Amino acid sequence: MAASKRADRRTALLLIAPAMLVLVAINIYPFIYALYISLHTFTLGRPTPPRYIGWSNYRDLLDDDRFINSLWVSFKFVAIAAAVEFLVGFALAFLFSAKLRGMATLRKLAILPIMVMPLASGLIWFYIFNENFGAMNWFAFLLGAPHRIPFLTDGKLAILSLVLADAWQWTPFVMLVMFAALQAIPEYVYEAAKMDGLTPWQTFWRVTLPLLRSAIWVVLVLRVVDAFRMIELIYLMTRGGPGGATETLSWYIYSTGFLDQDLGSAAAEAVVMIIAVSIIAQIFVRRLNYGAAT
Amino acid sequence: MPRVEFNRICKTYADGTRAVVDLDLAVADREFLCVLGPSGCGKSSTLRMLAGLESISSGDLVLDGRRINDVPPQARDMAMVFENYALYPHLRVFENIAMPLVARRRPRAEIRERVQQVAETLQIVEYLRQRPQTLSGGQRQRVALGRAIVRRPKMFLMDEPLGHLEAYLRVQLRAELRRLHERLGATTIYITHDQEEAEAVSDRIAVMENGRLQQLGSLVDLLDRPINRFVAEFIGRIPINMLPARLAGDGQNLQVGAAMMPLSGAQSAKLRSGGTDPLTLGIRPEHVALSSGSAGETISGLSGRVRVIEPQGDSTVIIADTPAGRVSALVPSGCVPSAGEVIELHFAMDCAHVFGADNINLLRAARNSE
Amino acid sequence: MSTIVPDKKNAVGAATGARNLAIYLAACLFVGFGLFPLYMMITTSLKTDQQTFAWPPVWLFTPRFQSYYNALFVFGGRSADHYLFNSLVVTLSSSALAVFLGAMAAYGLARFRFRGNRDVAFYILSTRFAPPVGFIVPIYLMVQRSGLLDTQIALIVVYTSMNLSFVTWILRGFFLEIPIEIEEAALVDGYTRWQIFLRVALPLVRPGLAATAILSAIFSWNEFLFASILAPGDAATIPVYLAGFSASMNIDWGEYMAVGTMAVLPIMIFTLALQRHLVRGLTFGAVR
Ligand SMILES: Nc1ncnc2c1ncn2[C@@H]1O[C@H](COP(=O)(O)OP(=O)(O)OP(=O)(O)O)[C@@H](O)[C@H]1O
Ligand SMILES: [Mg+2]
Repeated sequence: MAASKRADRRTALLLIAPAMLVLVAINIYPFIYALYISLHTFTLGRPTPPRYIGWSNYRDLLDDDRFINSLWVSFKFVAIAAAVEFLVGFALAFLFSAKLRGMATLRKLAILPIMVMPLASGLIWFYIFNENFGAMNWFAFLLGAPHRIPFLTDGKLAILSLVLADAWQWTPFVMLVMFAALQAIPEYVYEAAKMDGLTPWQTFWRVTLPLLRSAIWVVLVLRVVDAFRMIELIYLMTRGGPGGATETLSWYIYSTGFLDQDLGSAAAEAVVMIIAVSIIAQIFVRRLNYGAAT
Repeated sequence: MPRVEFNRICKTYADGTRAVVDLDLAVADREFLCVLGPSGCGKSSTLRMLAGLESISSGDLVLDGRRINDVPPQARDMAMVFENYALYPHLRVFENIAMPLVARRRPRAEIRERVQQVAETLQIVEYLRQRPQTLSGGQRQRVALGRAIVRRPKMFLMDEPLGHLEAYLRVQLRAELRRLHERLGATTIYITHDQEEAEAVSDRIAVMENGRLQQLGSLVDLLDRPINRFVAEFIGRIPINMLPARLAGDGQNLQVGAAMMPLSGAQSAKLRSGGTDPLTLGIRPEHVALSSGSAGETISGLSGRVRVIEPQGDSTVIIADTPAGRVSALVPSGCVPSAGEVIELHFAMDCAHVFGADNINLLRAARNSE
Repeated sequence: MSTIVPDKKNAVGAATGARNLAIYLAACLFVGFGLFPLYMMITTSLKTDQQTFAWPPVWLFTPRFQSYYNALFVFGGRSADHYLFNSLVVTLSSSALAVFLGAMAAYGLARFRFRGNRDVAFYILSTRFAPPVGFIVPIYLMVQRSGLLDTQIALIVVYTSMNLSFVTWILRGFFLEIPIEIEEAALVDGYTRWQIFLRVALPLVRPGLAATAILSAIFSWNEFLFASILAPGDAATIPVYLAGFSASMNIDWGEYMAVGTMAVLPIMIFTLALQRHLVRGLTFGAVR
């Protein structure tokens, strides 16, 4: 028996090793490498070799107004987008649970945006928000706007325009996941609630919501993490502008590294971001009850 | 005034299944009514319509003189024990039982006290902090029962509330339920598969089959005066004997195989007025007596060979092959013939039932009229 | 109010007509909002420049396919079909690799007890949350160092690793659902562990393989960030090509939208095909 146990362990190792190898190469090693780079001056395309400068890239970040601003913009964007997507998507999940004819078809149509290439959604919304001929301005005009609205070139509006584009793509995702979670609640639970005399409101708070808890966690964390790293919409619609109003941390890293070609600072920023996201993800992974994972 | 009235209630499910057909039933205030019937006969459907969980296809459901077809369950003030328990998976046992009280915003101390009390009655105190998934079927069932009896509702609806318990606990708890009923006086409708339990707890028993109410009465009524062949066969601890029979030419005897069974005057009158061949004689094993050895002088005997002997404690079931078919008899364990022996079977004809071609019991109430 | 508790069709107090109408209206409004941008993309790809820039916007017009022709058959330089083909190669290779390696790892995690099993599983899951932009600098340097810049190999490896997390998690769930007795029976019949994996377990999780393959394909097809940095030139995929348009001064909106349409529509068909497993895939099995 012991021999077969050892053989089992070897088989397991052989099965898992290739995947782990890829992950070590593309996930663990790059993280360590990013740490290394962040301790050096490192400019893209310059022949001088990287020079060790200790923690000064990190110290510089603290005095870097653009970096501080990008944290704040990221926070704003993530908070607004995740909140809007979650609340609307959650409400829609109930709406689409109505047992009416044709609802299944409407649901299938509603989730189409989820799979649109993010860059293409940026393209479309860039077009729709165009100040001169975009449909959004036409609707604004129909609703009585006195002049053209600079959706993407006004500091306050630009971030909201990004939120709208992001919400267009991801509200259906929230809806879909919450819908599935709602369907997974057995009918008898609601029957018991009726017999126990719970009002619809009590049923929602005391029965439905607690039963959706793990689905809510998944959806919230996915939305927060994915909104945090979103870059395509910014690339196409605002490029961080106007005046840094939409410069999120993701975009700031991208532009430090590959527009300003300062890889050392970009790596330091990246390390900060990875650690931030890891903390969020850890909280999440720990809270999720995967049962079978033990 | 009757508390609940079912007036020509029908239930047809979306897939066309006719679960309940033309149900007419009145349940009196403070009555404890048991519903018996084979699996799939529409018992749960009836109960769920009464609870308001299932829409009523046609007919009127009347509670205290008010039609309640469209009243939502919350407003009916009934407590229910679900067939599948229907416990809240995310709540602990304590919270499950407390839910009806929480819904009514009872004070915390009262909730704690009442849940504790119910848990003691049902012997589930040690599980109060567990979640339903970690409980056995019988434990879950008691939690479901607890959630119902923690309230003081107008009515209790119980769908096989003790079905998963062992005999000992079952007997204990059914006595508890009966006591509770006597204390609270809430009208109770109780579904069970156990006739003995039905007799023990209920005032009346309703027998259903194929979505229809067959007969309503005490267990003695159902045993001694079954309205039709179905009730006769369904009720009874040991299946009733059913033998093809014919009314003899003189009208005074029932011919079963070669044997002649004498009928009383009232019996023969009933059979002559209503009976057409073919008839079926129904006689319970309790009403079959044996005498061993050669054919005696009695004409009411049917001779047969013993095939099977099933000891059942202080009595024994003897199954014998006779020219008229298989007949079982319940005899005291002291005088059991041996297998293969030829015996004489005597029917206590005053306890016999005779069913016509339409399966109606032609001799119903025969004994009363004597 | 009553919408907060989903009701059964034949429950007492069934929905009223007015409420149903309101639900339909709200649902249609949302679907309309979802489809409108796609409608804009497709119609713009069929418009002339004049129609595109018209104010008020033109809603009814005769479609013309010139933009598609321009995008695909332009002379001199690369046309869209080159990048579509690049995308196809990268997508197919990386999804096949991710599903194969992921299935192996998932089986190992689902079926063998060993110290650290749980840690490995959670580590693989946690890579789902790794922010790509955080890894772009070191990966760029690694790729540059190995001389693989602007090759499909670089993208294939990166995409494989990005897809591994959810492929492994979903398939692990599928494997856990196979009754262990089936495999034990095969073991008794003299199959080796490896044979059981290939001939018994894999065929049983075929729906999972299909679902994860399609999801991997969608993510690889849609990925932009790594593609734009690691393969900006000849090996560029379609999103990178698409992004190139926005950089030019005079955007040819018709052609731009035509390329966009060609990049997006195939995926829509996959989405519809995937319906059943979409939620499970997108939440790596946490919600079914
Ligand atoms: N939701 C439903 N949809 C369609 N048919 C149903 C539904 N519920 C019950 N039925 C059918 O209605 C009939 C009566 O079912 P019901 O549950 O009332 O039986 P029951 O007497 O409670 O049986 P049991 O003793 O097994 O609990 C059965 O034929 C059943 O298949
Ligand atoms: Mg039932």
